Amino acid sequence: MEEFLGLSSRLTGFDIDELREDDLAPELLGVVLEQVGAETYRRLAAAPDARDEELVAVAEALIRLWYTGSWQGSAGGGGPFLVSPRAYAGALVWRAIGGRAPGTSAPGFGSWAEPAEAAGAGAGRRR
Amino acid sequence: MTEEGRYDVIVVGGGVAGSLVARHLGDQGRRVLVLEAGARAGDQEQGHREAGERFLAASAKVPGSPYSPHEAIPWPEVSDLTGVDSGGYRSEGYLVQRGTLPYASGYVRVNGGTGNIWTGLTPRMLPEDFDTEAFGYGRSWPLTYADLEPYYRAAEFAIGVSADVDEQRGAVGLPFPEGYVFPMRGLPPSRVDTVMAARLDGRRVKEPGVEELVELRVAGTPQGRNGVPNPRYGGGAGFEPVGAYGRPEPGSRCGGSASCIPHCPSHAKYTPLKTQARWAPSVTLQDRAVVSLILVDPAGRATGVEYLTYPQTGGVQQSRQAGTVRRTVHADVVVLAAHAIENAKLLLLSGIGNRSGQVGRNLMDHPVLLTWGLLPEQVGPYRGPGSTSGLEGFRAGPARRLRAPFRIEIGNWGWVWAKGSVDTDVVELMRASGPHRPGLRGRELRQAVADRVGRQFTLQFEMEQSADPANRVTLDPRHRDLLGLPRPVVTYGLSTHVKEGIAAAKAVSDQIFTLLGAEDHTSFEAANWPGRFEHRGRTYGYRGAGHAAGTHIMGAGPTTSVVDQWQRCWDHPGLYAVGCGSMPSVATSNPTLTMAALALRSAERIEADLAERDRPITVTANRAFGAAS
Repeated sequence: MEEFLGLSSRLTGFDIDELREDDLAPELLGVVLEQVGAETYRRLAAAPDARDEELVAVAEALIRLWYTGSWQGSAGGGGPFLVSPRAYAGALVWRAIGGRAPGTSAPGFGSWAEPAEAAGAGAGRRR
Repeated sequence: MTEEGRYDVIVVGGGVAGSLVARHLGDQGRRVLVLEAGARAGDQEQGHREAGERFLAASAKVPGSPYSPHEAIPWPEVSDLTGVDSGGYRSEGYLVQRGTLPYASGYVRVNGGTGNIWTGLTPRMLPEDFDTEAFGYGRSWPLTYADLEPYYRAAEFAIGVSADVDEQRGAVGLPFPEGYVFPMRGLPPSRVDTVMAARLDGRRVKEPGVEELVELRVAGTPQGRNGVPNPRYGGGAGFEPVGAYGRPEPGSRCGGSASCIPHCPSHAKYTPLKTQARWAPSVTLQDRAVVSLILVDPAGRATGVEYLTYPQTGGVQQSRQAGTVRRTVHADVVVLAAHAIENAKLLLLSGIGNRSGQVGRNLMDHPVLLTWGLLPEQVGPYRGPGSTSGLEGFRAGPARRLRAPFRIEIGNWGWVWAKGSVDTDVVELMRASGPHRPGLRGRELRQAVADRVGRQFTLQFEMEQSADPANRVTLDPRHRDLLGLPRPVVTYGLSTHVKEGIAAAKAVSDQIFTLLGAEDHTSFEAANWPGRFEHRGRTYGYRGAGHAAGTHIMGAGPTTSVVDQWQRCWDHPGLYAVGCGSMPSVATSNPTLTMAALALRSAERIEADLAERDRPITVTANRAFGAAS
């Protein structure tokens, strides 16, 4: 799991501690292993920046998984699918902009009038 | 075939219009049967929770995603359409599309109807919207703003509208009675709204071919969702917001979940289920009841309907074999309130009400031009209601002669309507642009995502589409659903007037983007834009706003229209067709409020019909007979 978190942190730009917050890693790793197989995953973990076409594709799938909660679709057919409502709610894209996934929280009446939270790299903590 | 009890009124469809009509008549003590094609949740809280869970679990968060369609009652979803690279579009699903351009909207067939999944915007039509013939296009209404005005107020009460009356007067130009205020105060504008207002208010833009400049002003949009009650409402009586399941809930407020379409977790948005919860005991809802025929007697009077039932679980085929599916029920008044396309389908299927030849014709929607881009600063999109403000200056005036008028909604939810979920942004940024150039990774990616998503906004130009008899719903016996009912066949296109409106809107958009200092990312790639056309050498795309109208058009006489100003079918006493299908024009306002006002007005008329039936004159007649015997 530590290895997966390290790899994920390197690819997504979120610290390992940030990635631990929603405890999504076990679920997401499960999806990766199921979709690409343990062997391919090991190769990516060993060489996250490999230019190998297959590994680049897996790295992108993993980034998308963390950022959106969706797997991009399998080679055997079938389009992108959402892993789970938890993965949707914890998707990093919302944390990147200092917001929340639509429909997952009620930040309060008039909250939408406030200035956007300071967003971007390094400003990952949630309100 | 089973014969059931007798009712004063049968209402076909438990959506916004049907639920309001049933409520009004039930309050008068009338026996009302509401036949709803969709399933009703046995337990409301559980139904609400499950709808939310289905939405959150859905891979594609399309408008119908909180509901699982039953095979017996399919419905159209926006994802039924895809654009084709070589031009044109492909369509699958419930609607059979035969137009040069697609009818690009969906609806849902569930209890509460499409009113469950609406955004919840409730602007009124303008007085001049009722007579577009004065501008040389479209069809005028047989009633005026003044005729409808009291019912607008009634609808604003029934739905529970939050808006600022002074702003509606000043920025939109609507007349209100002296002293009127909305039930609740206007909702706070979004950050996107205020950032735009700072740069746009008071600035003027020029339309090609129009001499007069239009001054921009960001104005709050009336909302059918709970805000802060106005103590001055009702002459000082105040207003009590309606919360979950129709309960009075003074503290109910929009919680900013940012998922109004398709599901409001906090019950702040109006849905017809709130009205249903307040029905009198004399109103009965029969769910999983799909009306298949409107019954009329030899004199043409509506007498009832025939409907099909289907089992909650298990296949339709088995239940058909069991032979338990067809029922009839009778009433003095039948009210069709099943959605513009479904109402037309029922009239066509029954072969009635069509002396004018207009049933199913004049199908209208709001074709929506979207333009989208990035503001110079972070604005925090995907927060709050889908749209809280708009630019209202292009809805009125003589420019309507040249091009369709439009209302500009400021979109609070990033680029989701234009490009789909934010997944597309992430994918674009991280994707390798070539075998030797991997996309962004790590901190760079995170920064880029924040920059790309956090500055997003969309302008949503809702174009008025005028009544055109060639835009129509027909039936084709070769295309049937599992219950054996014909599926609607839609022929649709955009007139030159609308296309000119879209072109003008794009020209206005370009100037607004310049004033905002915004980066324009608008582009209409074929695959993502089934509604795509060329006009004067430029390519445009449109979405459907889900505002189907016109299919049982209202007018001044029986040879040119389907219903009269009360939404009574000219040809059949006792038969009403209510909903946006009655609208002779859709104007530039989201139509739910107008539909609700019309429905409340019709409900009064129905009550008057029934009171007429019940008047002691019957007794007098009996006495006369008695004297003769």
